Amino acid sequence: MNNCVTLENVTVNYGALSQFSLIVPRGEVTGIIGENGAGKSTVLKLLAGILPYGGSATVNGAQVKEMTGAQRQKVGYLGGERCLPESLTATQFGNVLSGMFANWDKKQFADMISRASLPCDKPIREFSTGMKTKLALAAAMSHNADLLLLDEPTNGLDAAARDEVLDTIYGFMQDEKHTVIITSHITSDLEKLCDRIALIHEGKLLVSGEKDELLDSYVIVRGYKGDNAVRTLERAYGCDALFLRKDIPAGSDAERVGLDELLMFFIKGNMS
Amino acid sequence: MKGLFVKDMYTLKRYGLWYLVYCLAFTLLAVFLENPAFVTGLAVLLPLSALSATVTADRKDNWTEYALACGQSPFAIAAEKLIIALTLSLITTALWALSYFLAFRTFDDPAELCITAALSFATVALSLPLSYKLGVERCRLVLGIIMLVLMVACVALLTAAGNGLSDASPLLFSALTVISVATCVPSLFITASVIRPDKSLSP
Repeated sequence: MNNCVTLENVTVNYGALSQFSLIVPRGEVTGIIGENGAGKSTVLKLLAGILPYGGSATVNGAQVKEMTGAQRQKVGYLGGERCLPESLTATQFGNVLSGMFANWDKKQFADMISRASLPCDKPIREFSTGMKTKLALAAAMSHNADLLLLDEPTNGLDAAARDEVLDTIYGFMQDEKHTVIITSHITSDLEKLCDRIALIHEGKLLVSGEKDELLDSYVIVRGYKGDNAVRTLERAYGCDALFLRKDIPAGSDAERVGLDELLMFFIKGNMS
Repeated sequence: MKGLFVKDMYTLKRYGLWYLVYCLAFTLLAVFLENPAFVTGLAVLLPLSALSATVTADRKDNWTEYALACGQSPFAIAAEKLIIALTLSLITTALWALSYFLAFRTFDDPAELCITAALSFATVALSLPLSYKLGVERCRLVLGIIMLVLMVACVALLTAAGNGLSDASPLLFSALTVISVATCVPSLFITASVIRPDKSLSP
């Protein structure tokens, strides 16, 4: 079983996802990119088992809606809302979690709290955004999960805190059995961290694949006038065109595409 | 389920002192005024207050969503709340019995005790699914109305008990208590179905 997550024709009500299919191989970091409201968080919520869906969604071979409590505990979830009991302290939160998870690793949690210099006796409501994210991440990573679902883990963090969070995720990925699905609209983070990328727009998967392969297979030709491009994007100075590398028009200056621009072409660009 | 209990214990710890003060004050009133009905009010109020406090805290923290993602079943989440509320119901019912005994130095009339227990259990059974189904504000409003209705019912029943209902078969009052406990079973399943995220699937 090489695939950790398989989504086939998944539909979530209100059009949040429509006929959405995605495969996430085990041991890799998959980044889901899209605009606000594209459906990124919805994918993670349905995998965490907190959202009804139609179609087929499996984690480690089990249908998400039929997963047992023990199977669910192999999934670590960092929700967009962080879901932290604000009136408790970090230590009290740890005590709560140790009663919830069969494989709770008290030492790992304490180590992560101490490494992140989080105060143990201060109510969580007094934590900064970065501190809350680090605490939620410590909770998600301290119960021996093999799949980590991270919803915008670097959202609202300064550069130093972002670096620490990304470093923590790197640490988790040192075990080759661990799989991470991460959503973000900060594409530079995903470019650093991810093995695979999925672009999503209005609940539909636009394109997915290995990050390097994906970025290598497309190029941009600036100020292009003509057709045969995969997508074109009107700019103030003219028209930019996205081409498959193998289809670059002769004599054109092609530039390597970044994730940001690739996303822009797919969600805002016109098809030739 | 243990973690859910621990979380609610931390939440209720903040109210613990107040709960103790209420218990003491109402019991003393009941004993010195020789009217255990004061504790009947407490038997309705206390479980309701605990449910309201814990569910409100959970809603504020998106805790139910998190607990589900952590592999806790909707049934376990509902059952944990029910156990906490029923424990408080039992404690306050026991307080009622104690206050009656201290006031009258005897315990010869189980009718009022049964009514007190039944009202307390029925309050829990009603308020558990409602507190999950409704938003925090609406929940408080509806629970307030339920509380008022139950208090009126309580006064009416206790008055009736004092005016001759106590001559009725003790079986009637025992049945009332058993029925009110039994209503906690459908209440549990309804609450779990409110919590469960598997409704209205798209094709």
